[in-house]
Amino acid sequence: MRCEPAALELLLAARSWLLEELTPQLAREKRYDALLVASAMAIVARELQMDCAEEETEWRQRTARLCKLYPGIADEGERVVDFLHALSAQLARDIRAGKFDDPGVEREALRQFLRDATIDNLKKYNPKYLELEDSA
Amino acid sequence: MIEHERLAALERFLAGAARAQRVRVESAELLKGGAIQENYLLDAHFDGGRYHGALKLALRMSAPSAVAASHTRAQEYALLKAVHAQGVAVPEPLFLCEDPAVLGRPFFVMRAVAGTALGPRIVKDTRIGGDRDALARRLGRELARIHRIRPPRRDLAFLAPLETSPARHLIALYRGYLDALDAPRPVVEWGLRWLQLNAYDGDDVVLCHRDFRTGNYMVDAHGLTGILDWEFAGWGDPMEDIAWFCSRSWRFSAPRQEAGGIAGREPFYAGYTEESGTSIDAQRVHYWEVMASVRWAVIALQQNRRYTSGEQRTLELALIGRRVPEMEFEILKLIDQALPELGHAV
Repeated sequence: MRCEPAALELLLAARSWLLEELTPQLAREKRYDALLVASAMAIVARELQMDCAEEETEWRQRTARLCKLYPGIADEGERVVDFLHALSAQLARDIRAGKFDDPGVEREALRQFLRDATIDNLKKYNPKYLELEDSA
Repeated sequence: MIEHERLAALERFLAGAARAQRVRVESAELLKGGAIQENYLLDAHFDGGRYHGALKLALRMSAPSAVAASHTRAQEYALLKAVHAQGVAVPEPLFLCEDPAVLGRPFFVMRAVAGTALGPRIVKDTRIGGDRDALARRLGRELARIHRIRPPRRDLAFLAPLETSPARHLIALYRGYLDALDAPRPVVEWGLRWLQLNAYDGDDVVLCHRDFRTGNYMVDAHGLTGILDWEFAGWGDPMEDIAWFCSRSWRFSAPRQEAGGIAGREPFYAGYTEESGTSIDAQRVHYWEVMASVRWAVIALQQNRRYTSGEQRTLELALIGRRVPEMEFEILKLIDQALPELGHAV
């Protein structure tokens, strides 16, 4: 048996209560803290909505895109998160060493990869930022 | 908090420093906002001496843990003295106490300035801060005044001299910070690589505030009342401060108000130019805006690590790691905008 409301719904209810009922009654200098708590809850809600399977899919997609920058490197059955971490570390070292300095296909592929990964992260952690960006 | 028994020690210190017969501290309120410092607002009453009467003071003390790039309180006090003498709008520095027997940690005391420094609020609430173009112009003038201080200075000898150009120095520093964190950030590396390839030999080294932005100055209903938070000041390229002020992160909810979320760039640049007599090279500011986003990303990663390592468990530090993609987005955007104009020179 699963209790109702489900985790996500309960979290959003708690967040609304915090913002609508509690925050207005707080002293001004404590309101900022309440907004920080609400912000943490919103992030957790978005991450909950994206369940484990989806997150795994996102990591696999990102790993696949990253592998395109490194033909020859293959996923050897490690946990995807470890493999992604190792590939990112390699990428960071190669960028620093200047391996993507020359204009061309590789540089453009890297630029696109970095852009996609960053936008994915922003959508998850701070979607409002992109909305402000689009309206600017 | 300042405990009761510490308060008596503080009163004795203040009386000695001000040559007063007696000092009463009637209240000591901990202020919001310092992740690195603790700031208190004191209502004090001096009997005798130079400050006879009621006086509102601000007391600044190191937090239990501090980041590597931060000055000691004694150094910050020396910086305040130097810029105050230059006519910069800062809270007047009054007394420094390095004796840990008084409050447990070194601290200094300034004359309190009135107003608010909360960045998001200043951006949103146009009833405070006075006319926004005038505020931006004034801030430009203040910054130019800070930049009049040039090395060498005996009173600021603790500021490390630069051995390479300011940009190359910072690129090496931030790479070192990233390596110490051991968390790969390809976008930040991409930014650093671009900064290296496009570095220029800056001929101008001045005192930079290095955190000159909305959120670190105070305004009342009419305008600027004081520039705060000198803990990162050091020798650098003057364009670093200009770019930091204009960087997207410090525009808060007003990204189109490119000067600190309060105005366009024109009045800010105009104030700076009027006071300094030098014009601003937009391309150099753009270069330093990439640096600003790289720097803020690295600082956020360091602050986040202070949470995950257990060094300082505050919600603010826990959340800050998830803001790094904002800075990464800016790095990518700014580099895309710059690529056609700038050449390559390693």
